[in-house]
Amino acid sequence: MNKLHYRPLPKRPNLRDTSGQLEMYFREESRLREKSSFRLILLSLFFSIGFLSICVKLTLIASTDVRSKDFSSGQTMDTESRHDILDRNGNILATNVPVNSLYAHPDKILNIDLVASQLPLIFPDMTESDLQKKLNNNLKFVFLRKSISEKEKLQVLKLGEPGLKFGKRELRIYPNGSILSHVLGKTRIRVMSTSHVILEGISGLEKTFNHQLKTSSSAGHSLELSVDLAVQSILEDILSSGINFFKAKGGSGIIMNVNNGEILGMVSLPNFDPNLNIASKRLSSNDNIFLNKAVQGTYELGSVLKIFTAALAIELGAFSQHTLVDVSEPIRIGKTKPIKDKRWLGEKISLKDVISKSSNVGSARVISFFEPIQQKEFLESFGFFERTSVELPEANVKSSIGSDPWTKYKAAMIAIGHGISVSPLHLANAYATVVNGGYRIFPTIIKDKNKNHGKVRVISEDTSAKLKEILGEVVNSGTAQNAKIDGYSLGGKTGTAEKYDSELGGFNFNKNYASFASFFPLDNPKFLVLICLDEASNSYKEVNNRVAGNTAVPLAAEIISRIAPILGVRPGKSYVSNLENFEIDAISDLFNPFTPQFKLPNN
Amino acid sequence: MRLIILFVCSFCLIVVSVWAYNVNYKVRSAIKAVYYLSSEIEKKESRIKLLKAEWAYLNRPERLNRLITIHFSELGLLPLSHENYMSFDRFVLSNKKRPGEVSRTLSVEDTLKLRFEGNE
Repeated sequence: MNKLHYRPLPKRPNLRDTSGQLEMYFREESRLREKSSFRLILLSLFFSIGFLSICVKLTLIASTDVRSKDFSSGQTMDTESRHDILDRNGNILATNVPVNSLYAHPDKILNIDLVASQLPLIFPDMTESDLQKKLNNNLKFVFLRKSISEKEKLQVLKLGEPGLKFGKRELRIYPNGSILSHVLGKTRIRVMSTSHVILEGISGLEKTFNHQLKTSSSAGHSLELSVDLAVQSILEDILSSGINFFKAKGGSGIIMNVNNGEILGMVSLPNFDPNLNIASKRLSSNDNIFLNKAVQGTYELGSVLKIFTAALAIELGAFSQHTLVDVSEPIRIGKTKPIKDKRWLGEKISLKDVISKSSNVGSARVISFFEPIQQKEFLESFGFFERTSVELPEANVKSSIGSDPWTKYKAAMIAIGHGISVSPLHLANAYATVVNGGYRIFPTIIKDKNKNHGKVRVISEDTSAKLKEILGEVVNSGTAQNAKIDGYSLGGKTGTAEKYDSELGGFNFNKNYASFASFFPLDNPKFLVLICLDEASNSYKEVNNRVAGNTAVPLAAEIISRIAPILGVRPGKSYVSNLENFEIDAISDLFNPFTPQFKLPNN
Repeated sequence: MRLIILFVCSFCLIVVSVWAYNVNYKVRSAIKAVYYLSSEIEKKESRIKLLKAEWAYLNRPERLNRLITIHFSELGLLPLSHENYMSFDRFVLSNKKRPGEVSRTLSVEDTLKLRFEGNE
């Protein structure tokens, strides 16, 4: 049997031995005890470290957040991801689609001549000589195309060249083409490295919300606009047709909710397709299709501004809509040129007629009762001389009166809409205040942004009501009679301003800027439609063929008749279908236009 | 006694090490599965995105207008106008009976009442 070996103990001395031997025994025993306890501590330390490391490892494993790791197959997808831009009904206005880019490592290409001759067959805009030059340039990396389709990728793969590589990235597309192009803006591709490119907004909302759109966080952060695609489409369609019909140089249009400032449609024509790469430097400033005329351009809009003179006069209690104004002869302030009407309107006409018949003399006469500073402060309260709140980088303009001092003559010119340059958006904003009960609004292109915005009163409700009555009269019997449409009552004011011609050194009476600011329904205004046309002429009219009443007004009327049903504005009671007793099988048929029993009155 | 403790501790250490090793590999395998699933989700998401973009492209107003013009003879689609609105009281329920419908002719008020009471 094997004996267990253990630590030999010192031989216990005999008690009768000398005290020195006993002392030696205890000393030896204590030494051995210390030695073994050191070993024990070492061993327990070893186990403790072992267990501790296991615990640490387990804790690390347990606390690993798998989501925090980047599991995407192509890291560039995350960095260049860009959220969608949607209209108020969730229709896609801008989105990203995955594409491939093509690049080459020339040192790994087996046959450069073959690649240079074959690639132009796949990409016709490439030339063999260019490719030869690029690939024989002793470079290790050559970027060939920023985006290629799957079909093109397959064709390149068929070449079997190991030196041709593909990079995964995203392409920004605008499915509706040129619709809303000035508002959406454009993006450009920034190559950060060989495998990393980012999309960067360079204009419009793409620029304003660049950071918000490019954030790599998960879905659900699409930018929702206040724009209604159907309304926008109608606006663009009709304005574009109108520009062709009236042979205008261009135009702009705005449709806005007068109560919360939400813009439902905004267009500037001519426009551009943001899907195409068009170089702006090739275009002259006059034909600059990238200029957003609705927010960026400022114009002398003419008579459309006369309503603010009437508003001032009524708000200060000096006039009512029935107060008579002397328009019998031209008005001259100092030694300046007299202000006159195009035709004689009578001896004295009411303030309502001054606006509805667009009398220059009447407006100048009304403003002559007030100090220029009063007019200045009044226009300031509408926000004319500050940047609008709309979220477009291009909308950084303010209305301007030039360098002239605000004299009596200047005030009279401003009263008739000259001597002050205003952007269409500023005008739309101010008109919304006039008709919404007198509250200042803050235009926005983002849905529900102004939901909790406080109300700032500019004019009294009573003034607003009187102004609505005056503007209704403009359509009923004034300069905008072409705006009468079946089903809906509307109000508005026309403006036809002669354009300044630098070659003539004065105003050119053959070049006009026609505008019409309208709102509907007349009794409870909800929406505003502003149409501006640059050098429009109605060839069907022998006289007054350039005035807004014959150009901008019919376009606005057509737009309103088309968008009002879409926006849920019901026609007046007298205009509903005159069909007697329309028979249906069930109430649900009313909500299902495809049931056989349901036939529209037209059919 | 010490030997037993040493043995038990060593055994525990080995068992725990094997368990930790096992857990480690399971986690790695789970990570691989998550990686695969993530890439699958990414592929599906990008496919959905592409389809949504395509749907938006196919439904662009310009194309719809063109289709309406082309198929006008069959569809007869026209822009909405005030004529498409009708006063509610001009609708009259017919006497025709549908299977499962109540036998008497209902007035508009009755039908609405039924509708809002959830009986229809």
